[in-house]
Amino acid sequence: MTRRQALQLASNGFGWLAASSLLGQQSLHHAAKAKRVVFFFMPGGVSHMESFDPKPKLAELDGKPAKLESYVSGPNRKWLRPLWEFKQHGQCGAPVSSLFPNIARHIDDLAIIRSMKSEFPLHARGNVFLHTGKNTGGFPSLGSWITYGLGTANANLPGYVLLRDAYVPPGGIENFSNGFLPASHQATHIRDEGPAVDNIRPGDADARIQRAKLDALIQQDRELLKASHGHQEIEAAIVNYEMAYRMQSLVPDVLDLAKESEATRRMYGLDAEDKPKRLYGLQCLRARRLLEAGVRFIEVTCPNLVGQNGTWDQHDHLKRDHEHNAAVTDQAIGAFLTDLKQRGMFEDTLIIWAGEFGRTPDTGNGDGRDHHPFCFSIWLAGGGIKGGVTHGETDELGDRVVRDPVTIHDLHATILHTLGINHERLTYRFGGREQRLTDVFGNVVRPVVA
Amino acid sequence: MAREANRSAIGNIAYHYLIDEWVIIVAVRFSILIAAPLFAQADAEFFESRVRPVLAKNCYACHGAKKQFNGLRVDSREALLQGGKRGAAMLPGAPGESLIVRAIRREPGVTAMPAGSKLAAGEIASIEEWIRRGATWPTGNAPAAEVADWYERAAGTHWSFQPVKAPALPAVRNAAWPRNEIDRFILAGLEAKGLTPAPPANPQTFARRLSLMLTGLPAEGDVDRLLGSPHFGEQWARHWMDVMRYGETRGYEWNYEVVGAWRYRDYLIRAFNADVPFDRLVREHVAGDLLDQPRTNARERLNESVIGTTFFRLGEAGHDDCIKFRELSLDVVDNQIDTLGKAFQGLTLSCARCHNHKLDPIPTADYYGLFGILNSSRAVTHTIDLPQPFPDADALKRGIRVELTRLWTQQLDTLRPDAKKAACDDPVFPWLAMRNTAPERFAEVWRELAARYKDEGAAREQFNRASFTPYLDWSAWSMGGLGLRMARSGDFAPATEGERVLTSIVPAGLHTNLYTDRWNGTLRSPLLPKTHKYVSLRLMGGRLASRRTVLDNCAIGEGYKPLQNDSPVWHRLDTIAVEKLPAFIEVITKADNPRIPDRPGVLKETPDELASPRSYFGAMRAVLHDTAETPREELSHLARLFDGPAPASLDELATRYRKLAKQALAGQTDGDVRWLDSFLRHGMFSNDRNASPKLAELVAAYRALEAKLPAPRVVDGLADAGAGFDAPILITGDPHSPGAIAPRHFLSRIGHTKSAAFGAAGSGRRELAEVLASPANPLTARVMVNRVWHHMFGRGLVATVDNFGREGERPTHPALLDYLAARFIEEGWSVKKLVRTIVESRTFQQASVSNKSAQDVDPRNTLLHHFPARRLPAEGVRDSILHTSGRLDRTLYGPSIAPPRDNPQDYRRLFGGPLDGAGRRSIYTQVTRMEGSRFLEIFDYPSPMAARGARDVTNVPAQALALMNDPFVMDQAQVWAERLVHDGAMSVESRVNSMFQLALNREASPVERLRFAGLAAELASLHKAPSDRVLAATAVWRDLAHTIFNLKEFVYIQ
Repeated sequence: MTRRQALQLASNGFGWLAASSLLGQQSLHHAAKAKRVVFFFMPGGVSHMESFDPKPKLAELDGKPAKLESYVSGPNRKWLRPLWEFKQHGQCGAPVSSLFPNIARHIDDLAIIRSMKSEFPLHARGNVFLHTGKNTGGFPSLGSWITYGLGTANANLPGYVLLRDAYVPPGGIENFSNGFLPASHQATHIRDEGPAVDNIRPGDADARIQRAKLDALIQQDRELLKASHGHQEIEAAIVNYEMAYRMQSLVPDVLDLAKESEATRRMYGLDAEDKPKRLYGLQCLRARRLLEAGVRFIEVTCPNLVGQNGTWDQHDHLKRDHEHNAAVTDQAIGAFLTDLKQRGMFEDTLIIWAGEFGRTPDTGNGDGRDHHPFCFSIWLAGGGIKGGVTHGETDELGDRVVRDPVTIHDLHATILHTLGINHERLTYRFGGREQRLTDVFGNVVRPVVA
Repeated sequence: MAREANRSAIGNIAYHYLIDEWVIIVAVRFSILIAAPLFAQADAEFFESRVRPVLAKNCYACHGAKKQFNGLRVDSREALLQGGKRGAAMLPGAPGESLIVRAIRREPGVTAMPAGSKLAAGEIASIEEWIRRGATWPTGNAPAAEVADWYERAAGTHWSFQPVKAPALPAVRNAAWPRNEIDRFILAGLEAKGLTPAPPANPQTFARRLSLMLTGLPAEGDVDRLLGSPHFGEQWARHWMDVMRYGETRGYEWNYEVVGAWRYRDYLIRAFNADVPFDRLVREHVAGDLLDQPRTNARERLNESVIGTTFFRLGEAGHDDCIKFRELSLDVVDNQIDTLGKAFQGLTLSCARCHNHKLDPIPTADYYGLFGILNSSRAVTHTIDLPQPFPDADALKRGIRVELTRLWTQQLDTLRPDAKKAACDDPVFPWLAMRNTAPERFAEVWRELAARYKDEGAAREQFNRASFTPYLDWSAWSMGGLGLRMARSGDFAPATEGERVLTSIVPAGLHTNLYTDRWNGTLRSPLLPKTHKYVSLRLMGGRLASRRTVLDNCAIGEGYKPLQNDSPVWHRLDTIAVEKLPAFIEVITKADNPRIPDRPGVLKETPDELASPRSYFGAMRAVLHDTAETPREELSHLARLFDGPAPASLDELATRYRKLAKQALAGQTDGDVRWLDSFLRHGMFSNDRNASPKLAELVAAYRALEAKLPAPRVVDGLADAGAGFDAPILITGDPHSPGAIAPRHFLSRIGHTKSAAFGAAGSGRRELAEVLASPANPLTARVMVNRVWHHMFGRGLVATVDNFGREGERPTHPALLDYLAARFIEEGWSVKKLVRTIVESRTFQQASVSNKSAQDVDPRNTLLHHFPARRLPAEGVRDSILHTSGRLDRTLYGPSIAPPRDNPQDYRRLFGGPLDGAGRRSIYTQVTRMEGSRFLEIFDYPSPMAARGARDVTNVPAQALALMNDPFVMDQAQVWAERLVHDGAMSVESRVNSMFQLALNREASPVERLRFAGLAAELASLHKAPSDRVLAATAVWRDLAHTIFNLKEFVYIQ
């Protein structure tokens, strides 16, 4: 490795793996099954009874007075039957509701966790907890921890990319923050509309103008570097200009979907009439291209269609809006999984599909469900994950976990595990102690790990 | 590896030492990774992190202090050994034979536990492992014996816990070099390693460095001018704001605004400019509302001291229910403790929230002692204005009163019952009721009516007497605001807008609008008694004045209710008697309500109404009760109507009404007010400001004066109300596991901060302030001196500026740190004197380059063999650009400017501001949680979530991209270019030279002039500008300006 390469790596998130590979190691703590991660964030609270955890008992009880020990209360709460049918899929025969036909096609490659537990029925805390393992802001997000641990695989691209829309979720952009980790582990935001990446489009209309300015700049800066006897930071800043200059063409190039076949574009739904669906397909296809180009961690947020506290937050209009949200996301995620398999990337890419909590088995208004942190469903797939597995169990109402509870810390420990990271050993000193993504908690969920 | 660097792209520069350093960095980081933790999984730590939380969460509810199902407790080692009905629950060393393990494994023949879901495999394994290791159970509330041992030792030996003692000055060989004491210490350090200091920086470089350090702007003058510059305060206020995790919105979900956060920022700027002694600032931050002699600002007419307490309120906060989610308020206090500990003591106090501090001698009892102090303090708004004069108001009010009385007396002759509807307690009700009564039955009906009134009145009084207990005199409540004062019956609140003369004639009580509804008011109860379910208040008010219950200091909790009556009505509030949490009631005007402006959809008021400064309330009585009903309106004020013989006709009744109205006009009781208020509401008395020319004149005169009154200024802060109360230690930090009570006190172990329990009179903040601001405190001065040093040299003498504990770094120059700390105290805690001492040292005046040998011996320059060059902070980058382009608006103070946003999110109060931030310095850019300023954050602007005394200084491509392409930078290049083309320069080279002078504070060298002239020519051709018109081609100069903004020299302090 040259010094220049070292400086470049440092700039875009030079992580532990990069450091250890300098010393001849291949992975951080143990053999990694996954090299990169994509996290499909499903904010607001997907109904677990209507996605991956069928509850026929609720159909029997539909409309009868409900009594739940919960944060929501009211005199007129009633059980609500699942609004969508379940069918068994694949060889494993796991049931999936009719909301997710495309994801269901990959069921033999998914590990469904039905026994997720969170701690708060509050969006802001739930979101921040899911992302950082803490319940208040100011701590690094999953993507920052992972790029801190592993660095980027392409020195010319950021290690951690957030594919988002304009919406700011509860908990704020702090959800995606590098917290106390250095800014080199911060997320690069790529928006679905308008200029995709801040400042990536040259400010000069004519490329020759920018080049002329940069040439003079480099001469000046080199003289300064010489006068400063090779000041390290100044040199690194100079190297950054070269990298930034290249990123101006490289990043748009990676994001340029013209290079994709018509069939691929259709598969992701880029021809959809529904704009949110089109934009979500766009972000998912970009995700694949970015992973291919060497980005380590990608999070894809969900278009916020209704309400203001998360895509899936259906306190009312459950039928209409869950259906729409599923229509917006299912096809593109299914396409993404297919695409990764076709390209041989599925086996070493960890895919996470998760939100901050589930929804109540009962309803206050007959038209929606409320926040439910006591149990909910998520799924994992790809690198390091055992497919066709359903882990954990909830009671017949979908109210509480009765077997193999999985906490957010457990989820984080498992994610890091697939990447060859021991969650107890990925630490960063801040505030007088060695900080961890999993704090002092977390156990790898072995049954879902390949 | 790596000596064959790719030289082509960068040029032939000597960088061998650089790569060596790189390897060192890698190695150091790697060693952290592989090294065993300092306290390797000690049994106690294993228990605290792996076992106690599992037991607390899953078992304590049924087998703890409150309940003992089957006689079993599992919340101590002894209890587990003793067991319950089925015998010992645990056999240390033998997990397989321990009942508790068999229960959680759900083995047959044992009741499966916990009753709900099975524990996770890892949790079961932890408990097994713990029992296998012998089931160590450190006592939670006080340090266990072995812990106390090292606590005592640590407190007695750790350097920063020992008293500050001014050291002797060290001897140096090169006695000619030192200019002041700092130099003696630094030189001694260098000489010990055989090093020599760097030569002095050249005067131009030094002047630029000095100005950027002291004011954040280039070239503002010499030391005296810089220390006297108003921009000095801006620069140092911003440094302190990093430590205060300064934010102007509260984040969470709806991003409510911190009331008056920017006034706290202005307070800091004024304080650093005035060089307010730092110990004074500490007192103001901790207890500015409690000082005997608050610092007042005659020019601004405000109380400065009280603004200090705003710091407590700058953190993240949510609106959700504080009973269901106890953690919400605990987290707010935890963040206050964390900030206070780091800022003033360099200690990570909040580590002791869940267990005794693992690294420093801070038991949980100390944390909860401090918690009790802050929890006993109230989260409130403070009015910072000194009393506002309203000259001539009384005289004009008297005039209006006389004129109204004259008019109303005239109107008595034609008085008639002119009301659409009225309740029976309304004085016009009987008149209306009698209107259609046949003359022959008039007296009889009247007598019946009188009898019913008598009975009903007696019944109501009886009900009220039986059901309600008077709740405290107002004197027991806390009062604030400019307007709130006690009114006698019959005083009036003038209408300050519209056609009405009066808003109301007021009954006796506290009112905010006796002179103007522009003045604010706050009325806060003592802690609510838990003896009754409800407290009811008799209130009037409007324009978004509200009443609410504040529970456990959740200042932006749900459930305030606006007042909408100009006559008194009863409001019932919950005392929340079922919960043990502290609660109080407040009645507040709009400006004092931290929920306004509220999130979308909550309030129906128009934006104009929300922006109006007007809001008012009156408060008459308070009662406690358990019945759901509020007090019934009594009828005693109508007794006078039924006195004497029954009227025989409607005319006779009218005559009686006129007589009584006249009597009410002369009267001074609440009963009289009921009569007048009724006539006024029903329009039977005129309330039209044009009712007479004289009245119109008086009202106009009054309003003209009123319009000149400035709106009150309020800030969020803390206040005391009555005796403080101690908090229980929360086992593992769990609000549902209270342990022993921790008396309110500060650190019990550390040096001279050791304190006894604080007195009962208040929260204890006043005492806390004294402990922190004491010259005997070993940490306060050291920590602050080190912060100043950090800002001057880019690295503190203690590198971990917020951590002086045992895990923090040791000082590189301990004697120098103590010398400066002792001198700081001796010189009256003057930050300016300290800064002057530093900048006058030769150490600070060294050049920023050093020789090879020094680099070899001390590559990190911890000995300061040269001045460490570094990139400007985010604000420095942005402010330098504004300064150079000429766009800088040097206005000080005022509301913040929203950062520019492509996609403003109004529902989260993330508004979009102008691209150039109105030309204001970056300290005036609004600091919004949830999404901050994009441009500033690229350059390591800190997150406002936690104290951050030392920012990262990263080097990322996003910074290059921002300077290359960000619209703000391009825009400012254009602004500068437009000025340049009119500067009258005679040649390209002379203009280039003046650009260098402005941007870099130096002449351009001949080579540089040629280089930039060449660039100008090339750009002129690319822009197709005629070669003889280059000086007038704005596009060319925009590009040159842009190039200069991108120079490393422009963004680096050397």
